[in-house]
Amino acid sequence: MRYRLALALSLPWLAGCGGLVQAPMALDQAALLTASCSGCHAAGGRAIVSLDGMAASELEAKLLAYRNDADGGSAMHRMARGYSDEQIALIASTLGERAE
Amino acid sequence: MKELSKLTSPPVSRRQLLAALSALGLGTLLSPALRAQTASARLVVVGGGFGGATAARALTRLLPEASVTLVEVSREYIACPFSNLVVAGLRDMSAQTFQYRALRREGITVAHARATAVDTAKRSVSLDSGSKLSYDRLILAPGIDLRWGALEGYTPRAAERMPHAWKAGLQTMLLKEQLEGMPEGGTVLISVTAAPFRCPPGPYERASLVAGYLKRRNPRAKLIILDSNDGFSKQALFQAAWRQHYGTMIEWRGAADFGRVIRADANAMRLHTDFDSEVGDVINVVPPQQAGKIARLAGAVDATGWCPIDATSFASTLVPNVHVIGDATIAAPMPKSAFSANQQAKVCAIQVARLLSGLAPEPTTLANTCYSYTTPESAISVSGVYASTNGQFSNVPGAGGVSPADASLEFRRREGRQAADWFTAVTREAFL
Ligand SMILES: Cc1cc2nc3c(=O)[nH]c(=O)nc-3n(C[C@H](O)[C@H](O)[C@H](O)COP(=O)(O)OP(=O)(O)OC[C@H]3O[C@@H](n4cnc5c(N)ncnc54)[C@H](O)[C@@H]3O)c2cc1C
Repeated sequence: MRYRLALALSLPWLAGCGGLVQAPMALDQAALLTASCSGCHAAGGRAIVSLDGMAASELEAKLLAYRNDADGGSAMHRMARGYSDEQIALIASTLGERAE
Repeated sequence: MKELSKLTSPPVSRRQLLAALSALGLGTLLSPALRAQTASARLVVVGGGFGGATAARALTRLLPEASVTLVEVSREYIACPFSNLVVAGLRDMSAQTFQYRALRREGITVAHARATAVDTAKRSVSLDSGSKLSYDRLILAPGIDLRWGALEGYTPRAAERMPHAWKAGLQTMLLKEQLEGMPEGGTVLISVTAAPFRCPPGPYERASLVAGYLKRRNPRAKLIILDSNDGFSKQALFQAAWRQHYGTMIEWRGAADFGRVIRADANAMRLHTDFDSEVGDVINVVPPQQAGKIARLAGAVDATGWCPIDATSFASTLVPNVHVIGDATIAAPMPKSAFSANQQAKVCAIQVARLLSGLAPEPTTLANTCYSYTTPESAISVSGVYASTNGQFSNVPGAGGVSPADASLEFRRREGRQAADWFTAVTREAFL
């Protein structure tokens, strides 16, 4: 209980504070899949493209656009082609902001 | 899958909150016995590079109550990615250097010692400081060792005249200084060992950036790559960039053209190939490699010199309760890259936490992109997507590949900026 309280109290700082306090990670397929993303797009810092504040729906649309653009040559195009609709939806809902 | 969906928390606005709550959700689902087991778990990581540092951090986030010890012999980590820019005088070594303070602040015990033995029966690691660490699960991330003598004549002494610069640090500076001191119109030789080796496109990125340096400072100089392979990563893109930017300065000799170096003579500054020999003013040898020694001492290395693993869990297929990540593994088609090591670390940490929580490791999909600079601003890249099903990595069909051959200068420069941003992001995730 005390642990939970301490964690809850620390949450407001999580977004902006870089390496100081890291949120616990989950153990599920969403966490496994998004392990591929955070090396370039970790929350709260400089990244190739920051995902901070991006809506899940927007992220999903972007990933699908990368995957479905047969002429696209960027690294994201080449990687997105390896993911199914379900995987893209799971990644987007994990990394994107949920609509309120 | 049904089991797992119960672990997911209700929707909330911030993803950090989501991750936090889902971990708490898991905690409440576990039986008291399992919780106690994960809380008291002793986890040891050997090697604090891109793989090990990331793994230690991920473990503390996954299992906040477990004890996590990172064993790393050096007080500072000097990163290889981007060290070719240092060789070419385009980047300061300080930008390559990282400490372990942030990891300590997060509750990781960082032991600056060399791991000298692993007793897999007693589950303990011996350190050269004299202490012994007991573990429930051990993650080995020792990177590579150079196979001294595997190339005849290439000894630690020879490397003082013919640097490898394949482990960043003094060797990187030595190669840089030798290039700066090279006589006008001199010859640089780069010898490349047979695959597999750390960073498949690395020797060719180095050739590009060294040629760029020579073009600016020593324009009549020549660079010959003596290669034990018949082809290389991003070959067509590299060779087009070489023609475009460096004219005829770079000559590549593949194995079929007797490019394979079989003996190094450091006193004569000469490399012998199957047929011939070449003298160089500066000689860079990318030598034969194998998994870091501690992996061998742990019994986790097979006849190839590398560590066979179950790709789903990163568990050694040779010894129990030991996982291996990064350059030390046999993970083909995943390359030996910092990108791969960082990502394997996170996936491995999750699988270790699952095992400690009584859940089976779960197959997933991983990806890799390696950028290489062809000029100080422009880069090309190679990507792959890999499934970790059935304990083996396989290429996901239809995905991956290299940058387009006909891309604009703007596209190449954008990839150059992406490379720099990748370095910032990945070093932050591992060390800062
Ligand atoms: C010139 C060059 C350019 C590169 N460019 C790129 C690039 O652009 N992108 C990319 O993704 N990759 C690149 N790489 C590859 C990258 O450097 C490696 O793939 C990466 O470092 C592998 O990480 P690792 O954690 O497996 O090993 P390492 O980073 O080597 O870390 C291993 C650590 O373990 C420690 N250690 C070993 N044994 C022990 C022991 N017994 N006890 C205690 N500590 C021990 C070592 O001191 C070391 O710090 C490049 C490599 C080179 C040489």
